[in-house]
Amino acid sequence: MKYVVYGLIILLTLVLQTAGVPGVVFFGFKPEFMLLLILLAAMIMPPAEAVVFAFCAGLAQDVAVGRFITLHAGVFMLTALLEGFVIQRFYRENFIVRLCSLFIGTALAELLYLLGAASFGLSRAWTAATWWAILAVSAFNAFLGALLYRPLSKLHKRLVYYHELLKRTG
Amino acid sequence: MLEHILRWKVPLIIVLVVIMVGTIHYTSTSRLKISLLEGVGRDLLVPFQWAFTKVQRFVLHQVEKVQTLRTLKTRNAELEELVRSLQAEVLELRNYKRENEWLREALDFKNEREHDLLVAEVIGRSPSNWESTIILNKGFAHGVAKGMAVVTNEGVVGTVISVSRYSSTVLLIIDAQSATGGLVQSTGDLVLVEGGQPDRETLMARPLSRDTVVEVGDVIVTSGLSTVFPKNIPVGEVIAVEPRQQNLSFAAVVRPFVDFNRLEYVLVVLPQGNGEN
Repeated sequence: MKYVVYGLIILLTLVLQTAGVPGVVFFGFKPEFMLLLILLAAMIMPPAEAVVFAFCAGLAQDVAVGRFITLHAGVFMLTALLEGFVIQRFYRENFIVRLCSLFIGTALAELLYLLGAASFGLSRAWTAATWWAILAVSAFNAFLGALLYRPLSKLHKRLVYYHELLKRTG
Repeated sequence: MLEHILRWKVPLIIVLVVIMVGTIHYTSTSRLKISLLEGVGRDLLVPFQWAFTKVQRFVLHQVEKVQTLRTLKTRNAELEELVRSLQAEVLELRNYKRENEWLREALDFKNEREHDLLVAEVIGRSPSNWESTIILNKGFAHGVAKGMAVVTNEGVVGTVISVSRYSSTVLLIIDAQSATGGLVQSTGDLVLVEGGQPDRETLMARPLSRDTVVEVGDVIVTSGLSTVFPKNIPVGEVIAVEPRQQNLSFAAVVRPFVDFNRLEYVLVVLPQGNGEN
């Protein structure tokens, strides 16, 4: 059951992220909802599950709208792995810890993506605008993610409960 | 089972990384067709994107309606004035039209149109800040192919870079990977119009000859020298010219006529006899 819900969440985020009308714009830059989702998953889910979730989310984005298939999948997987590894060593219920880890996680993922894309021919000038974009998206994800963490965590706990209940009762 | 898999963790990771690098390398090269998996993925997303975009547009239009209610009275008076002046202009244009038709017949003028146009709706946008692409609700089932030009009645939008059965992805001219041949309408000098400006709203026009003269206010149109864009489609207006330094070439900042944030419908330029009008 929970895997169906995970799939639906990925689909919904993908549709929201690629909507035809530019919706939320933060300092002229679009927030990366899919990246925010996998960072939150890395904080909420068990590490191995979060990595698989991140891979699936990245692959879905690559297949549906990406230019390099599996680049997002790889970047998201690595980011979820590092985020999960780091957040386990800190008290994640602390707002500042969440804020900082989401900010660094987003910035890292953006840098990894740009470096990966540059390695395969999609180079970009490292101007102030590029750094500003990374900072703006990281700040947006950090604030929104830090606020969304608790409700999503509760939702995940409930989902796991129903999943186990369904598994045991058939 | 899981323990068995975990025992082979390291070789599995190595195999996964090799497969991923190989896939990225394969998909990074210019491909005529996208893979079956990409095609299915993109087509599956089309109805969801279409529905979500419709809902989003409906909400935005309602918000705009509420906002315009305040200025409705003054706007109405302005429009009435405009209608009166346009009615006079229409009468004048009807005379010109009649005269034009008569002259065309007299000269046995053949109306040669080289392209058909296919109307497509924008149902999606690139999820990333690093790419400027849009997704259209028309694919190869409707006659769209890779490399076709996409325009609006305002000007150039971009080029189709990948096509699935029911959707296609268009690289906008403001993207860093985009370069279009253009010419300065007033002088006929050739320029190369490139995207990738930091503001992601303007273009950069670079002259192809040292004698090229570009001034603020000049209109840049497509040159028609490439196989992608037909000739004389408006690209944008020059808003600034960077001064020459040490006798080197200059560059002009061009504001596109198309507002890429408000694109709803676009026209795909098809070869003649290939699509609907």
